[in-house]
Amino acid sequence: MSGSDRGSLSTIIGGTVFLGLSLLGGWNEFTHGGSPFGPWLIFAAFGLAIAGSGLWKRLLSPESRARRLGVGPLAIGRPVAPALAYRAPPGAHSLSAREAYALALPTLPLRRIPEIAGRTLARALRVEDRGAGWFLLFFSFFWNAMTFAGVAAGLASDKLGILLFMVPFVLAGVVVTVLALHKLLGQRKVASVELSAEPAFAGDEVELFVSQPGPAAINRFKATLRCMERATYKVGTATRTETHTVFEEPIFEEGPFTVARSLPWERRATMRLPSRPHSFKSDNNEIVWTVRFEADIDRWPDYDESFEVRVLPRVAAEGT
Amino acid sequence: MIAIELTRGTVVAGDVVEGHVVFDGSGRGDTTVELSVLWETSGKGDTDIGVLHFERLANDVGRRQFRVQLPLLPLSYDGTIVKIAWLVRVRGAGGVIDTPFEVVSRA
Repeated sequence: MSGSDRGSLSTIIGGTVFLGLSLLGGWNEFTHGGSPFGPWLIFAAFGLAIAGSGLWKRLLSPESRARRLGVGPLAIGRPVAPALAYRAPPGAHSLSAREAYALALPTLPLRRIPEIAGRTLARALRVEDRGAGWFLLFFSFFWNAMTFAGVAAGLASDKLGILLFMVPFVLAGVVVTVLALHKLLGQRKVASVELSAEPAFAGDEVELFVSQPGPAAINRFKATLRCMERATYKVGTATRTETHTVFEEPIFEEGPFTVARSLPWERRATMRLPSRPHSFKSDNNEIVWTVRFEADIDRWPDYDESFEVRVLPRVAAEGT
Repeated sequence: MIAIELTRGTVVAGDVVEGHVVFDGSGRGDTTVELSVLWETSGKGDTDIGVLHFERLANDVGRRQFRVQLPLLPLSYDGTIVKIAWLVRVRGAGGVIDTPFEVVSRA
């Protein structure tokens, strides 16, 4: 029996037990003069849904489920839009990747990146994990509220043991808060980045434009082109992510320099994208190309942020 | 016994993958089998699939042709912790038969 089969079987058993207990509770309440419409109905529905999802997994093959649910960007039921590139016309070499892939782009297993026009070059890029700082800050509020309640309980009961027990939790809360503020403050100084093409063809030369806002005294400013494989897997109830760097090449490194408040520091550069691998994104696996910027800022939190760019295989013109 | 025969083992992205499913009449326990053309990830992460084509075939003696136009992505990829394989898969009560093929870039 495979792991998936065992998982679906335990889901069916768990759901059925939950359903049975809920029905039993409901019946007990009903026979003792209670209403037939109690909270047990919600629990029973929950149990039924769990058992049903297990049955769904058990009875249908993964391919059949994918067809029904539209799981995976290429699942049947979501037709692959005809791309210009299936039989690109002569002269397709002059088309951008966005034009060549055209309507097929949203149907492909790639990250969805909003189309933002740049001021200097064609496309403005966005930071890859923009919400990380805010997530950490939100988490630190939640964590600190919990530890505060624990410390308050310890103070009220006047028990030193409880207070000592809470020390590591309070320290963890302080560390998370500092990390969140560091990340958010660093992001306030993040450069804006533009590319001549996004998505871009693998093997192409792409122009890069960077604008670093001020005021800031930058000790070191480094730009790197990077490709990483990212894999997510479950171990028990925990989800882990592992990364592997496939390609890494410096684009430029500058510093020290000072940026005035009203005059951003600007820099142009070109980078040659390797011919492979292409960008890819599915639920648990990803090949991601980024332009990474590391800034060492004097008397301000440093930042290390990546901007994603999708790299697609070049499409040849018909007859080539 | 069920076998999958592909016309070509390497297909250019955007082109057609074609072949036959061959039924020899044995293994009649299945009245139907599922034929799918899909990509599947392997490596360190949990497996993802993208099903491009799915159909149920009657398990009769003979050859059944299939012909599926591939999308432009993903290409076959053999990385360190992420791998992408394209497969023609026949699934019946007796098990799964996978025949891999390679999808490469046109240029």
